[in-house]
Amino acid sequence: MAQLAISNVRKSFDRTEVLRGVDIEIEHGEFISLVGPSGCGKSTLLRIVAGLESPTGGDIVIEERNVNDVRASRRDLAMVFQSYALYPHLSVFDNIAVPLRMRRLNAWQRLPGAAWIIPGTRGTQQQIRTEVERVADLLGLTDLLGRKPSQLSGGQRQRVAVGRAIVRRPKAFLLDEPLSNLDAKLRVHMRTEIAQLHRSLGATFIYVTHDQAEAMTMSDRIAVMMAGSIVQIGTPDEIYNRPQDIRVAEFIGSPKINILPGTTDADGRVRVLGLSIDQPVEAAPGTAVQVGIRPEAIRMATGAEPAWKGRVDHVENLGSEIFLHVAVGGIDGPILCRLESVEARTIGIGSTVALCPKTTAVNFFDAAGNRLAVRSMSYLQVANG
Amino acid sequence: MSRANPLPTASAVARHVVLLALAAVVLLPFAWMISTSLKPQSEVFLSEIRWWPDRLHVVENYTAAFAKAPLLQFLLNGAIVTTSIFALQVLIALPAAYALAKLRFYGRDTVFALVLFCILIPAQAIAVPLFLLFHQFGILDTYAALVLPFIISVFGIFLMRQFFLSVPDDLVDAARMDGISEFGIVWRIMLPTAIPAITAFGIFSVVAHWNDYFWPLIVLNSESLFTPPLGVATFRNSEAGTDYGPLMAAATIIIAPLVIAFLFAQRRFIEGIAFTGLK
Repeated sequence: MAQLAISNVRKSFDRTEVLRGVDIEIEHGEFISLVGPSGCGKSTLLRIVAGLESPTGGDIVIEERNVNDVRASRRDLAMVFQSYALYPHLSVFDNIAVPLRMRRLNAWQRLPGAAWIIPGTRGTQQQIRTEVERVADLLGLTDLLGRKPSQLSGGQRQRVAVGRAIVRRPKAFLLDEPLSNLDAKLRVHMRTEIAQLHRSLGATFIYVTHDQAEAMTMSDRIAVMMAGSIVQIGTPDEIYNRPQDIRVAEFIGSPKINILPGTTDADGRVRVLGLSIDQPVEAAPGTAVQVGIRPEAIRMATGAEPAWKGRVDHVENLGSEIFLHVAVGGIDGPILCRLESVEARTIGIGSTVALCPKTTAVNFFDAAGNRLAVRSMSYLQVANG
Repeated sequence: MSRANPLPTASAVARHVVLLALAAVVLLPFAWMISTSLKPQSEVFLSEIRWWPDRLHVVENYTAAFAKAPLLQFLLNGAIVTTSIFALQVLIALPAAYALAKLRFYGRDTVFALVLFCILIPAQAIAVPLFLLFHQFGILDTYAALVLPFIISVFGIFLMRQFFLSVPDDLVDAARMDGISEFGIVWRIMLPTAIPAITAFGIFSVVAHWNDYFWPLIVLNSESLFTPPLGVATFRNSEAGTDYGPLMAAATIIIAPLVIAFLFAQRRFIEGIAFTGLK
C-alpha cells in the first residue's frame, strides 16, 4: 500500500482549470519529482498535498487516512519553500526550533520565563535544544546558530530551511523548487547534498522542479506534468529513453531531442527525409509519424551507407563532447548531433557531413504526439513463443 | 577635487534660502513661545522685539505653570490616553490588516473598499452622534470617552495591510506548516516583521492624539481628566486677563515630550514618511 496517494485531484481557480485529475501513488522512502514547465500545476499540486490549498475534487490519502479535511499542521508533512521562508526576526536556532516548540510546548510553556514556573518545561526545552543541535550538526550549521537569516548566504539559508523541515521527522518532505534561487555551481552541489540527505533519512521526498536535470539526477521516479495532467510517471531511465508522449521527449533532455517528420511505408518502416529507419511501427502504411532522435543517438555515417547530408551551421564545443548543428534539406531547424570530441575535431563550420540515426534509440510518435510501439518486439515474442 | 567638493552654485544657494525661509516661518512662533516663557509679564508686550528678556523670569513662570494647574496630571492623562489608543489600535488593526492582505474569503475586496471609504469620514462629522451615543452609555467625561472613538484606526488598517502585502505568502504558509495558528501568525510572525511600519504608524497616532484639542474639549468637564492641549487652554482667563509667561511655559512643557521623542525617533519618523509615500 502506498504511503501517500493522490487520486483524481482537480483544482480550479475561478474558471481556470489548473489540475485536471491527477493520480499518483508514492511509496515509503521514495524520492519522486514533479517536473514540468512553469504553469503546469505542479506547485499547486504540492500545496494541495501540504494542505495549504484545498482541491476542487479528488482525495489525498496519507497512510490510508483521507486528509482532505485535515489542517496543514496536522498532516505531519514538512515543506521547504522556494524562497526558504525563514522567520526574519528569529535566529537560525529559533527558526529550526519553531516546529518542535509549536508541537511539544503549550501556549503557556512558550512564554518567556516559563521554565522557572511550569514543571516539565525545562526538560522539553533541553530536549528541543539537543535535537536542533543534532540537525545543525548534520547540515553544518553549528557555527551559524546565533545568526539571523539576513546574515546568511543563499546556500546557508537553504540549509536552514531544510533543517527546519527535517528536525521534527515528518512522514514526508515536500520541496518546492528549493534550489532555484541558488547560483548554478551551488545548485549542482546542493543536488548531491539533498540526494544524500534522502538516502540517510530514508524518508519520502516529493520534489517539485522545472529543471529536468534536478529531476533526472535525484529521483527514484519522475512524474512529468503538462497543462494540469500527468503525462508520464516512470524512472528517470524510462522517462528519458522511452517517453510516452512527444511533450515528455521534448521537455526532458538537454540539448533538446530532434523531432523529424516521417511517413510509414507498406511494411510499417518509417521514411524520414529520404532515409528508411529499420524499425517497423504499429501504424497503417502512409501514416504521418513524428520521429524523435536524441542528439547522442545520431552518428556520422560510414562509407556509402544511406545518410542525411547537410552543412554544419554551428559547433558547440563542451570539451568532452561536441554538438553539431547541421542544416539538412526538408526541415526548418537544424539536426543536433552529439559527437565525441575526438571524432569531431576536424569538422568546421560550413563543412558537409553525413549523419544517420542509431536505429534502436529512435522514438516514434503519431500525429497527436502519442508513442507508437515498434513491431519488431512482437515479432520476436511470436518467434520465441 | 572640484567634483568631490563642488562650489555652491547659485541654484544651491537659492534652494537653501527658500528652505531656511520656510523653516523660519514654522519655527519663529515656536521660538517666540520659548522666549515669552522666559519673560516677566511687563516685557511680554513691548513695541520692540526682544528675544532675551532684561529680567529673566524662568523660575517664576515655570513654577507658576506647575502651580496654577496640575500640569503633571495633564501630561499623565496625555500619556495614558495616547498609549491606550495606540495599543488598542494595533490590537485591532493587525488582525484586520492580516485578514485583508493574506486570507482569501468571499467579499474581501468589498470589505477593503469599505475600509478605504471610512478614511473619507471626518472626525467632526460624527462628533455629535458619538457624543449622544456616549451620553446613552453614560461614559462621557471618562478616559473611555477619550479613547474609544479612535481604537479602530482605518488609516492603521490600510497602512498595515499595504505592508503585509509585501510579506511573502511563503512565510505565512511556512508558519502554518509549522503549526502556528492564524492569530499566532499575526502576533508571532507578522508583528515582528512589521516593526518599521508599526513604528511609523505609532508616531502618527501618538502625535495626532497628543495634540487633539477638538474631541477632549467636547467630552470632558472634569479638569482632572484634561489632556495637555486642554490644560494649556485653562491658562487663558478672560476675566483676570491671560498670564502669558506661565501660559507659554506650560505650552513649552506639554510640547517637550513630543519634541524629545521626535529627536530620539527622528530617523524612524523620516523612514515612516518615506514608507507611506512609497506605498
